[in-house]
Amino acid sequence: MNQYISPYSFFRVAYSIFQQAEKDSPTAFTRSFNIARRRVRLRFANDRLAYMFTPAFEHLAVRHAEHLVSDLDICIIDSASTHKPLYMPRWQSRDYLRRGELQRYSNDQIITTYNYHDGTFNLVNLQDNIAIFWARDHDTLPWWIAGSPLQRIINCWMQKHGLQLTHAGAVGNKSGGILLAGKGGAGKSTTALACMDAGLYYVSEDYCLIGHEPQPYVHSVYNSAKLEPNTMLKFPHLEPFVANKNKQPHEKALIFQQDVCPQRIIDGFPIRAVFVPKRTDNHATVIEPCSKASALLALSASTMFQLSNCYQPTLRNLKQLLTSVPAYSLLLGTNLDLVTSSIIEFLGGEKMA
Amino acid sequence: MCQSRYYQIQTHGVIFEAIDDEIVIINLDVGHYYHLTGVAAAIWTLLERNGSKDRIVTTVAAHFNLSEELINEQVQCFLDELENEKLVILNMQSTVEEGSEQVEHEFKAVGEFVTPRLEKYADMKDLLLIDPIHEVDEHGWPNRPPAVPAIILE
Repeated sequence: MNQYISPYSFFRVAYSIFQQAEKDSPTAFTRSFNIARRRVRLRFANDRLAYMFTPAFEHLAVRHAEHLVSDLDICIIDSASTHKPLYMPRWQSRDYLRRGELQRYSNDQIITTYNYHDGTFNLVNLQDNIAIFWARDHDTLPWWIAGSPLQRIINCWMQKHGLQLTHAGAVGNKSGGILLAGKGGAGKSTTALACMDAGLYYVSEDYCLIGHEPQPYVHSVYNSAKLEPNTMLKFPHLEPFVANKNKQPHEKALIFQQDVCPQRIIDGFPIRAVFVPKRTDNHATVIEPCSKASALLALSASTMFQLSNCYQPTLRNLKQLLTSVPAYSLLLGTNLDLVTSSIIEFLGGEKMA
Repeated sequence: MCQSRYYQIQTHGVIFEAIDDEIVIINLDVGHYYHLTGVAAAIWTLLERNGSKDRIVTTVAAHFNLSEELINEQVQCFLDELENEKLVILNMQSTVEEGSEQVEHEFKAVGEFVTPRLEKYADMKDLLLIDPIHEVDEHGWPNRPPAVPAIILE
């Protein structure tokens, strides 16, 4: 049995195996993306891994970036296609925390998680700004990774820069917009897509980065949307753009807005308010003030339970947002045109140019 | 003479923030989250300063001009609920320094007395690891127990 090693040693071993795989592969390549004004370079051990990771970031792609310095390198590898096993140090069940954090292989600079839901290891070296996403076999990765890839790595690294990956939709115009907070099924996706169709800019449907300097600001990360069948029925024009056409019955339809309407995606805007959508049977939509604590609950619960490395600083970070902007209940009516007109009116009637 | 009870807010796995005189609490280990308003939020803030149940009862009764007997029952019910949810730990002696003169201040934003309630939400619980690692394969990778279904994240 392998022995316990230090977090840094585990990272170094994993990184050296990746580097060897990268060197050995004739199809290894890199792509760069500007995420929240930071240059993030994805380094693929071979070309079989890219299809799942790049479409969601395509709206933030940096062209001809081969010689540019990156702020963060994310190394993406699987053992099956590279024939490179990951060295597994010793562990026991008690080494794991609830959301997959491997505390024995983490410290102030190295964060190691085993993502139970997709079966991958995620290692982030905050000191050297290098992260590793390691899967057993890319063919067995779950479909939803393509919609919001590398969540845990992006969250851990961006936290160091004061940004929090947050489970929220975001739509607006260039001068500002709203966050849509709430768990799945609350109406975030429907509202975000309807607003995009009505002429607002789209930052996110489910995950975005939130910062505070110099003002509350939301940054786009993914251009994807994951839609339930009943939501798809409301947007039939999206049917030709479903990326996972052979999806299983339990899978949502995956859309990349970059394929649908790239001019309506924006990389970010100031946050003017947090909306908490709630479905109603009424025809009209009503926007009414709600308590900031309710909005903090809606924003924080689904964020903190879905991501690793979210503790008191994350809750404080989201509270800081809510101390700066107002919170509203968005009582969604059944008429989508009235939903969007209410939001556009709230934003002062301004749509995209 | 009855021994006074002291309650200490759980620090392991429980985080909270106050905003606009309301409290948001998240139990990261269990997957439950909570919302406190009014008298309940004020009591929680008192627990942060001084976990003496007697002192909380005296303060609440004096502020709302109600009998200590009535308040004692309602405060004890609320504290029992917090303890059952593992949000506080019962001690027989104070682990917090004696409260300050600001104690009374916590109730200034509260209007009429309303029975303190803990609003609990459990709809995120399934997102947590239930039974993370049963065994590893021949290469040392952890295996998901076959009985646990995959959870589809949004």
